[in-house]
Amino acid sequence: MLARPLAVESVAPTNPLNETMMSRLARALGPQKGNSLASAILATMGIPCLETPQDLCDFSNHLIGYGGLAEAVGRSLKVMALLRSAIDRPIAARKDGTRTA
Amino acid sequence: MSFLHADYRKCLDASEQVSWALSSVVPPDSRLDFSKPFMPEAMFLAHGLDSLTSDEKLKLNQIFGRAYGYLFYFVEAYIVAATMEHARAELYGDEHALRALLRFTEEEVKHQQLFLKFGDLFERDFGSAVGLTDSPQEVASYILSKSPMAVLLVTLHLEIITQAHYVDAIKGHTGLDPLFVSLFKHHWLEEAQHAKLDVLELEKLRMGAATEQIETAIKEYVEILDAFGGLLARQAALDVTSLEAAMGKAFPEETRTQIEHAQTRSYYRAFLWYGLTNSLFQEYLAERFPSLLAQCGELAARFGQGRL
Repeated sequence: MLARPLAVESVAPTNPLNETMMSRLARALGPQKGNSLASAILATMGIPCLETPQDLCDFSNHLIGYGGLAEAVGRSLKVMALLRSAIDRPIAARKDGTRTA
Repeated sequence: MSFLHADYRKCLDASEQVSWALSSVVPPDSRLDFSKPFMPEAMFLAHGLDSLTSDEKLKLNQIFGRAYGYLFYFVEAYIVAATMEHARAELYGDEHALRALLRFTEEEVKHQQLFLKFGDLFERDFGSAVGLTDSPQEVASYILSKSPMAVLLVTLHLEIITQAHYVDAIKGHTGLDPLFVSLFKHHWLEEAQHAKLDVLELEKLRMGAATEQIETAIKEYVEILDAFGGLLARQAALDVTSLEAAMGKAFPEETRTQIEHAQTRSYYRAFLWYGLTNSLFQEYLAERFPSLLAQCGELAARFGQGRL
Protein backbone atom coordinates (compact mmCIF):
# COMPACT_ATOMS: atom_id res chain seq x y z
CA MET A 1 0.00 0.00 0.00
CA LEU A 2 1.27 3.45 -0.80
CA ALA A 3 1.80 5.83 2.08
CA ARG A 4 -0.50 8.84 2.21
CA PRO A 5 1.21 12.17 1.61
CA LEU A 6 2.44 13.64 4.87
CA ALA A 7 2.22 17.24 5.89
CA VAL A 8 5.51 18.99 5.37
CA GLU A 9 6.66 22.11 7.09
CA SER A 10 7.10 24.39 4.17
CA VAL A 11 10.59 25.72 3.58
CA ALA A 12 9.22 28.58 1.57
CA PRO A 13 6.10 30.51 0.63
CA THR A 14 3.47 28.23 -0.89
CA ASN A 15 2.06 28.03 -4.38
CA PRO A 16 0.69 25.04 -6.33
CA LEU A 17 3.98 24.11 -8.00
CA ASN A 18 5.96 24.37 -4.78
CA GLU A 19 3.34 22.40 -2.88
CA THR A 20 3.36 19.67 -5.48
CA MET A 21 7.14 19.41 -5.32
CA MET A 22 7.17 19.28 -1.52
CA SER A 23 4.35 16.75 -1.36
CA ARG A 24 6.02 14.40 -3.84
CA LEU A 25 9.38 14.57 -2.12
CA ALA A 26 7.75 13.93 1.26
CA ARG A 27 5.90 10.98 -0.12
CA ALA A 28 8.94 9.41 -1.73
CA LEU A 29 11.63 10.23 0.82
CA GLY A 30 9.77 11.06 4.02
CA PRO A 31 8.97 14.56 5.28
CA GLN A 32 12.30 15.33 6.95
CA LYS A 33 14.57 14.18 4.19
CA GLY A 34 12.29 15.66 1.55
CA ASN A 35 12.24 19.00 3.30
CA SER A 36 16.00 19.18 3.77
CA LEU A 37 16.71 18.12 0.19
CA ALA A 38 14.29 20.73 -1.16
CA SER A 39 15.87 23.42 1.02
CA ALA A 40 19.36 22.50 -0.15
CA ILE A 41 18.43 22.58 -3.83
CA LEU A 42 16.45 25.81 -3.58
CA ALA A 43 19.47 27.39 -1.82
CA THR A 44 21.74 26.22 -4.64
CA MET A 45 19.34 27.71 -7.17
CA GLY A 46 19.24 30.97 -5.18
CA ILE A 47 15.45 31.15 -5.01
CA PRO A 48 13.07 30.87 -2.01
CA CYS A 49 10.52 28.65 -3.76
CA LEU A 50 9.40 27.31 -7.13
CA GLU A 51 7.16 29.74 -8.97
CA THR A 52 7.29 28.78 -12.63
CA PRO A 53 7.46 25.55 -14.66
CA GLN A 54 11.03 26.59 -15.55
CA ASP A 55 11.91 26.68 -11.84
CA LEU A 56 10.42 23.20 -11.51
CA CYS A 57 12.44 21.92 -14.47
CA ASP A 58 15.69 23.35 -13.10
CA PHE A 59 14.91 21.98 -9.63
CA SER A 60 14.20 18.56 -11.15
CA ASN A 61 17.57 18.47 -12.89
CA HIS A 62 19.27 19.07 -9.54
CA LEU A 63 17.12 16.37 -7.96
CA ILE A 64 17.97 13.84 -10.65
CA GLY A 65 21.63 14.19 -9.74
CA TYR A 66 20.95 12.70 -6.28
CA GLY A 67 20.06 9.28 -7.70
CA GLY A 68 17.69 6.70 -6.20
CA LEU A 69 14.17 7.74 -5.25
CA ALA A 70 15.10 11.42 -5.46
CA GLU A 71 16.02 10.82 -9.09
CA ALA A 72 12.69 9.04 -9.71
CA VAL A 73 10.80 12.02 -8.27
CA GLY A 74 13.03 14.40 -10.22
CA ARG A 75 12.33 12.68 -13.51
CA SER A 76 8.59 12.74 -12.85
CA LEU A 77 8.62 16.42 -11.87
CA LYS A 78 10.73 17.22 -14.89
CA VAL A 79 8.11 15.69 -17.19
CA MET A 80 5.48 17.73 -15.40
CA ALA A 81 7.53 20.89 -16.03
CA LEU A 82 8.17 20.05 -19.70
CA LEU A 83 4.45 19.41 -20.25
CA ARG A 84 3.97 22.97 -19.03
CA SER A 85 6.40 24.26 -21.66
CA ALA A 86 9.55 24.56 -19.54
CA ILE A 87 12.86 24.23 -21.37
CA ASP A 88 15.40 21.63 -20.34
CA ARG A 89 18.76 23.33 -19.82
CA PRO A 90 22.06 22.36 -18.18
CA ILE A 91 22.39 23.02 -14.46
CA ALA A 92 25.52 25.12 -14.92
CA ALA A 93 23.64 27.70 -16.99
CA ARG A 94 21.39 28.78 -14.17
CA LYS A 95 23.64 29.24 -11.11
CA ASP A 96 22.72 32.93 -11.03
CA GLY A 97 19.22 31.99 -9.94
CA THR A 98 17.52 33.94 -12.70
CA ARG A 99 14.00 32.91 -13.58
CA THR A 100 12.50 32.22 -16.94
CA ALA A 101 8.79 32.83 -17.21
CA MET B 1 -22.96 13.99 -20.83
CA SER B 2 -20.43 16.75 -20.27
CA PHE B 3 -16.67 16.58 -20.05
CA LEU B 4 -16.54 19.48 -17.64
CA HIS B 5 -17.26 17.44 -14.50
CA ALA B 6 -15.01 14.42 -15.05
CA ASP B 7 -12.76 13.06 -12.32
CA TYR B 8 -10.00 10.49 -12.30
CA ARG B 9 -11.68 8.08 -9.88
CA LYS B 10 -14.88 7.86 -11.96
CA CYS B 11 -12.83 7.35 -15.13
CA LEU B 12 -10.91 4.58 -13.42
CA ASP B 13 -14.10 2.86 -12.19
CA ALA B 14 -15.71 3.10 -15.61
CA SER B 15 -12.55 1.80 -17.29
CA GLU B 16 -12.56 -1.28 -15.05
CA GLN B 17 -16.24 -1.92 -15.74
CA VAL B 18 -16.02 -1.84 -19.54
CA SER B 19 -12.60 -3.44 -19.95
CA TRP B 20 -12.29 -6.26 -22.49
CA ALA B 21 -9.66 -8.76 -23.63
CA LEU B 22 -8.29 -8.70 -27.15
CA SER B 23 -8.74 -12.47 -27.49
CA SER B 24 -12.45 -12.23 -26.71
CA VAL B 25 -13.10 -9.48 -29.27
CA VAL B 26 -11.00 -11.07 -32.01
CA PRO B 27 -10.91 -14.85 -31.36
CA PRO B 28 -8.43 -16.88 -33.46
CA ASP B 29 -11.15 -18.11 -35.85
CA SER B 30 -12.46 -14.60 -36.61
CA ARG B 31 -13.38 -13.72 -40.18
CA LEU B 32 -14.56 -10.53 -41.83
CA ASP B 33 -17.66 -10.84 -44.01
CA PHE B 34 -16.68 -9.37 -47.37
CA SER B 35 -20.23 -9.69 -48.69
CA LYS B 36 -21.13 -6.69 -46.50
CA PRO B 37 -19.95 -3.10 -46.32
CA PHE B 38 -17.79 -2.03 -43.36
CA MET B 39 -18.49 1.68 -43.23
CA PRO B 40 -21.99 3.18 -42.80
CA GLU B 41 -23.32 5.20 -45.74
CA ALA B 42 -23.43 8.31 -43.56
CA MET B 43 -19.62 8.25 -43.51
CA PHE B 44 -18.97 6.79 -46.96
CA LEU B 45 -19.71 9.62 -49.38
CA ALA B 46 -18.65 7.69 -52.51
CA HIS B 47 -21.86 5.64 -52.24
CA GLY B 48 -23.52 8.40 -54.25
CA LEU B 49 -21.15 8.17 -57.24
CA ASP B 50 -23.00 7.21 -60.43
CA SER B 51 -19.76 6.23 -62.15
CA LEU B 52 -19.24 3.19 -59.88
CA THR B 53 -21.12 -0.11 -59.93
CA SER B 54 -22.51 -1.55 -56.70
CA ASP B 55 -19.65 -4.10 -56.60
CA GLU B 56 -17.10 -1.32 -56.99
CA LYS B 57 -18.78 0.69 -54.24
CA LEU B 58 -18.73 -2.32 -51.93
CA LYS B 59 -14.99 -2.85 -52.54
CA LEU B 60 -14.26 0.85 -52.05
CA ASN B 61 -16.30 0.84 -48.86
CA GLN B 62 -14.20 -2.05 -47.52
CA ILE B 63 -10.97 -0.34 -48.59
CA PHE B 64 -12.18 2.74 -46.72
CA GLY B 65 -12.90 0.54 -43.68
CA ARG B 66 -9.41 -0.93 -43.83
CA ALA B 67 -7.80 2.51 -43.97
CA TYR B 68 -10.16 3.85 -41.28
CA GLY B 69 -8.99 1.20 -38.83
CA TYR B 70 -5.37 1.72 -39.85
CA LEU B 71 -5.62 5.47 -39.31
CA PHE B 72 -6.68 4.87 -35.71
CA TYR B 73 -3.70 2.57 -35.29
CA PHE B 74 -1.64 5.34 -36.80
CA VAL B 75 -2.74 8.15 -34.46
CA GLU B 76 -2.63 5.93 -31.40
CA ALA B 77 1.14 5.70 -31.86
CA TYR B 78 1.53 9.32 -30.75
CA ILE B 79 -1.27 9.09 -28.16
CA VAL B 80 0.56 6.24 -26.39
CA ALA B 81 3.78 8.27 -26.26
CA ALA B 82 2.01 11.38 -24.99
CA THR B 83 -0.08 9.57 -22.38
CA MET B 84 2.98 7.79 -21.01
CA GLU B 85 4.44 11.21 -20.26
CA HIS B 86 1.29 12.38 -18.50
CA ALA B 87 1.28 9.21 -16.39
CA ARG B 88 4.93 9.66 -15.56
CA ALA B 89 4.26 13.18 -14.33
CA GLU B 90 1.86 11.72 -11.74
CA LEU B 91 4.44 9.48 -10.00
CA TYR B 92 4.11 10.02 -6.22
CA GLY B 93 1.14 12.28 -6.97
CA ASP B 94 -2.55 11.46 -7.27
CA GLU B 95 -2.90 7.64 -7.22
CA HIS B 96 -6.23 7.68 -9.06
CA ALA B 97 -4.80 9.89 -11.76
CA LEU B 98 -1.73 7.67 -12.09
CA ARG B 99 -3.79 4.48 -12.36
CA ALA B 100 -6.28 6.06 -14.78
CA LEU B 101 -3.48 7.33 -17.03
CA LEU B 102 -1.63 4.01 -16.94
CA ARG B 103 -4.84 2.22 -17.93
CA PHE B 104 -5.39 4.79 -20.65
CA THR B 105 -1.93 4.03 -22.04
CA GLU B 106 -2.39 0.27 -21.79
CA GLU B 107 -5.78 0.49 -23.51
CA GLU B 108 -4.36 2.53 -26.38
CA VAL B 109 -1.65 -0.09 -26.96
CA LYS B 110 -4.37 -2.75 -26.87
CA HIS B 111 -6.35 -0.76 -29.46
CA GLN B 112 -3.28 -0.66 -31.68
CA GLN B 113 -3.07 -4.45 -31.43
CA LEU B 114 -6.81 -4.65 -32.19
CA PHE B 115 -6.36 -2.69 -35.41
CA LEU B 116 -3.30 -4.72 -36.36
CA LYS B 117 -5.35 -7.90 -36.00
CA PHE B 118 -8.10 -6.34 -38.09
CA GLY B 119 -5.48 -5.52 -40.72
CA ASP B 120 -4.23 -9.11 -40.73
CA LEU B 121 -7.75 -10.49 -41.16
CA PHE B 122 -8.46 -8.02 -43.93
CA GLU B 123 -5.28 -8.74 -45.88
CA ARG B 124 -5.75 -12.50 -45.52
CA ASP B 125 -9.15 -12.54 -47.22
CA PHE B 126 -9.70 -9.34 -49.23
CA GLY B 127 -7.92 -10.66 -52.28
CA SER B 128 -5.68 -7.74 -53.26
CA ALA B 129 -3.31 -5.27 -51.65
CA VAL B 130 -4.61 -2.06 -50.10
CA GLY B 131 -2.29 0.96 -50.03
CA LEU B 132 -1.92 2.68 -46.66
CA THR B 133 -0.16 5.92 -45.80
CA ASP B 134 3.24 5.18 -44.36
CA SER B 135 5.52 6.63 -41.68
CA PRO B 136 3.34 6.69 -38.56
CA GLN B 137 6.54 7.50 -36.67
CA GLU B 138 7.04 10.69 -38.68
CA VAL B 139 3.49 11.78 -38.05
CA ALA B 140 3.82 11.00 -34.34
CA SER B 141 7.06 12.93 -34.25
CA TYR B 142 5.48 15.94 -35.97
CA ILE B 143 2.52 15.99 -33.58
CA LEU B 144 4.72 15.56 -30.52
CA SER B 145 6.92 18.46 -31.66
CA LYS B 146 3.99 20.76 -30.85
CA SER B 147 3.12 22.06 -27.38
CA PRO B 148 1.61 19.49 -24.99
CA MET B 149 -1.61 21.53 -24.79
CA ALA B 150 -2.01 21.42 -28.59
CA VAL B 151 -1.29 17.68 -28.58
CA LEU B 152 -3.98 17.13 -25.95
CA LEU B 153 -6.51 19.23 -27.87
CA VAL B 154 -5.94 17.05 -30.94
CA THR B 155 -6.15 13.89 -28.83
CA LEU B 156 -9.45 15.05 -27.32
CA HIS B 157 -10.74 15.81 -30.83
CA LEU B 158 -9.83 12.28 -31.97
CA GLU B 159 -11.26 10.56 -28.88
CA ILE B 160 -14.51 12.43 -29.38
CA ILE B 161 -14.85 11.47 -33.05
CA THR B 162 -14.45 7.77 -32.25
CA GLN B 163 -17.47 8.10 -29.98
CA ALA B 164 -19.45 10.20 -32.44
CA HIS B 165 -18.80 7.79 -35.32
CA TYR B 166 -19.89 4.78 -33.34
CA VAL B 167 -22.92 6.30 -31.65
CA ASP B 168 -24.18 8.36 -34.60
CA ALA B 169 -23.40 6.10 -37.55
CA ILE B 170 -22.20 2.58 -36.71
CA LYS B 171 -24.18 1.43 -33.65
CA GLY B 172 -27.25 -0.64 -34.51
CA HIS B 173 -26.42 -0.68 -38.24
CA THR B 174 -27.35 -4.28 -39.07
CA GLY B 175 -26.20 -4.12 -42.69
CA LEU B 176 -22.50 -3.80 -41.82
CA ASP B 177 -19.96 -6.55 -41.22
CA PRO B 178 -20.65 -7.59 -37.60
CA LEU B 179 -16.98 -8.08 -36.66
CA PHE B 180 -16.12 -4.58 -37.91
CA VAL B 181 -19.00 -3.16 -35.86
CA SER B 182 -17.86 -5.12 -32.82
CA LEU B 183 -14.28 -3.81 -33.12
CA PHE B 184 -15.49 -0.23 -33.09
CA LYS B 185 -17.99 -0.87 -30.33
CA HIS B 186 -15.17 -2.10 -28.07
CA HIS B 187 -12.92 0.71 -29.16
CA TRP B 188 -15.66 3.22 -28.32
CA LEU B 189 -16.32 1.68 -24.89
CA GLU B 190 -12.82 2.54 -23.70
CA GLU B 191 -12.34 5.76 -25.62
CA ALA B 192 -15.25 7.31 -23.71
CA GLN B 193 -13.04 7.44 -20.59
CA HIS B 194 -10.05 8.63 -22.55
CA ALA B 195 -11.81 11.79 -23.69
CA LYS B 196 -12.57 12.67 -20.07
CA LEU B 197 -8.96 12.04 -19.07
CA ASP B 198 -7.82 14.32 -21.90
CA VAL B 199 -10.00 17.07 -20.47
CA LEU B 200 -8.60 16.55 -16.96
CA GLU B 201 -5.02 16.65 -18.24
CA LEU B 202 -5.78 19.66 -20.42
CA GLU B 203 -7.07 21.48 -17.39
CA LYS B 204 -3.80 20.91 -15.54
CA LEU B 205 -1.88 22.49 -18.41
CA ARG B 206 -4.35 25.29 -19.09
CA MET B 207 -4.42 26.47 -15.49
CA GLY B 208 -1.41 28.64 -14.94
CA ALA B 209 -0.61 28.88 -18.65
CA ALA B 210 -0.04 32.36 -20.07
CA THR B 211 -2.48 33.69 -22.68
CA GLU B 212 0.25 33.43 -25.35
CA GLN B 213 0.78 29.74 -24.52
CA ILE B 214 -2.95 29.07 -24.95
CA GLU B 215 -3.01 30.96 -28.25
CA THR B 216 0.07 29.02 -29.42
CA ALA B 217 -1.67 25.76 -28.54
CA ILE B 218 -4.72 26.77 -30.56
CA LYS B 219 -2.58 27.76 -33.55
CA GLU B 220 -0.70 24.45 -33.35
CA TYR B 221 -3.95 22.49 -33.05
CA VAL B 222 -5.04 23.97 -36.38
CA GLU B 223 -1.61 23.24 -37.89
CA ILE B 224 -1.88 19.60 -36.81
CA LEU B 225 -5.37 19.33 -38.34
CA ASP B 226 -4.01 20.76 -41.60
CA ALA B 227 -1.11 18.29 -41.57
CA PHE B 228 -3.52 15.46 -40.81
CA GLY B 229 -5.66 16.65 -43.71
CA GLY B 230 -2.66 16.26 -46.01
CA LEU B 231 -2.18 12.70 -44.82
CA LEU B 232 -5.87 11.92 -45.33
CA ALA B 233 -5.75 13.29 -48.87
CA ARG B 234 -2.80 10.99 -49.61
CA GLN B 235 -4.81 8.05 -48.27
CA ALA B 236 -7.74 8.99 -50.53
CA ALA B 237 -5.43 8.89 -53.57
CA LEU B 238 -4.11 5.47 -52.49
CA ASP B 239 -7.70 4.21 -52.22
CA VAL B 240 -8.26 4.81 -55.94
CA THR B 241 -5.27 2.65 -56.83
CA SER B 242 -6.37 0.01 -54.32
CA LEU B 243 -9.84 -0.09 -55.88
CA GLU B 244 -8.35 -0.54 -59.35
CA ALA B 245 -6.22 -3.41 -58.03
CA ALA B 246 -9.26 -5.00 -56.36
CA MET B 247 -11.41 -4.73 -59.52
CA GLY B 248 -8.60 -5.59 -61.93
CA LYS B 249 -9.26 -2.53 -64.10
CA ALA B 250 -8.14 1.04 -64.63
CA PHE B 251 -10.75 3.79 -64.30
CA PRO B 252 -10.91 6.76 -66.69
CA GLU B 253 -9.15 9.84 -65.30
CA GLU B 254 -12.45 11.62 -64.67
CA THR B 255 -13.74 8.70 -62.59
CA ARG B 256 -10.45 8.49 -60.69
CA THR B 257 -10.79 12.16 -59.79
CA GLN B 258 -14.39 11.69 -58.66
CA ILE B 259 -13.45 8.73 -56.46
CA GLU B 260 -10.48 10.53 -54.96
CA HIS B 261 -12.54 13.63 -54.20
CA ALA B 262 -15.35 11.59 -52.63
CA GLN B 263 -12.84 9.68 -50.52
CA THR B 264 -11.06 12.88 -49.45
CA ARG B 265 -14.39 14.34 -48.36
CA SER B 266 -15.22 11.13 -46.48
CA TYR B 267 -11.90 11.18 -44.60
CA TYR B 268 -12.10 14.89 -43.85
CA ARG B 269 -15.64 14.57 -42.60
CA ALA B 270 -14.80 11.52 -40.47
CA PHE B 271 -11.58 12.74 -38.88
CA LEU B 272 -11.80 16.53 -39.00
CA TRP B 273 -15.34 17.82 -39.54
CA TYR B 274 -16.94 15.37 -37.08
CA GLY B 275 -14.75 16.69 -34.25
CA LEU B 276 -15.08 20.37 -35.06
CA THR B 277 -18.89 20.16 -35.18
CA ASN B 278 -19.36 17.83 -32.21
CA SER B 279 -21.58 19.41 -29.55
CA LEU B 280 -19.55 18.01 -26.62
CA PHE B 281 -16.30 19.31 -28.09
CA GLN B 282 -17.87 22.68 -28.77
CA GLU B 283 -19.33 22.86 -25.27
CA TYR B 284 -15.87 22.18 -23.87
CA LEU B 285 -14.23 24.77 -26.13
CA ALA B 286 -16.84 27.39 -25.24
CA GLU B 287 -15.92 26.98 -21.60
CA ARG B 288 -12.15 26.60 -21.84
CA PHE B 289 -10.91 27.67 -25.30
CA PRO B 290 -13.46 30.19 -26.62
CA SER B 291 -11.10 31.65 -29.23
CA LEU B 292 -10.73 28.18 -30.79
CA LEU B 293 -14.50 27.72 -30.79
CA ALA B 294 -14.73 30.94 -32.81
CA GLN B 295 -12.61 29.31 -35.56
CA CYS B 296 -14.47 25.97 -35.59
CA GLY B 297 -17.20 27.09 -38.00
CA GLU B 298 -14.74 28.20 -40.69
CA LEU B 299 -12.55 25.09 -40.22
CA ALA B 300 -15.57 22.75 -40.31
CA ALA B 301 -16.85 24.36 -43.50
CA ARG B 302 -13.41 23.99 -45.13
CA PHE B 303 -12.94 20.36 -44.16
CA GLY B 304 -16.60 19.47 -44.75
CA GLN B 305 -16.16 20.43 -48.40
CA GLY B 306 -13.04 18.29 -48.71
CA ARG B 307 -10.39 20.98 -49.06
CA LEU B 308 -7.50 22.19 -46.93
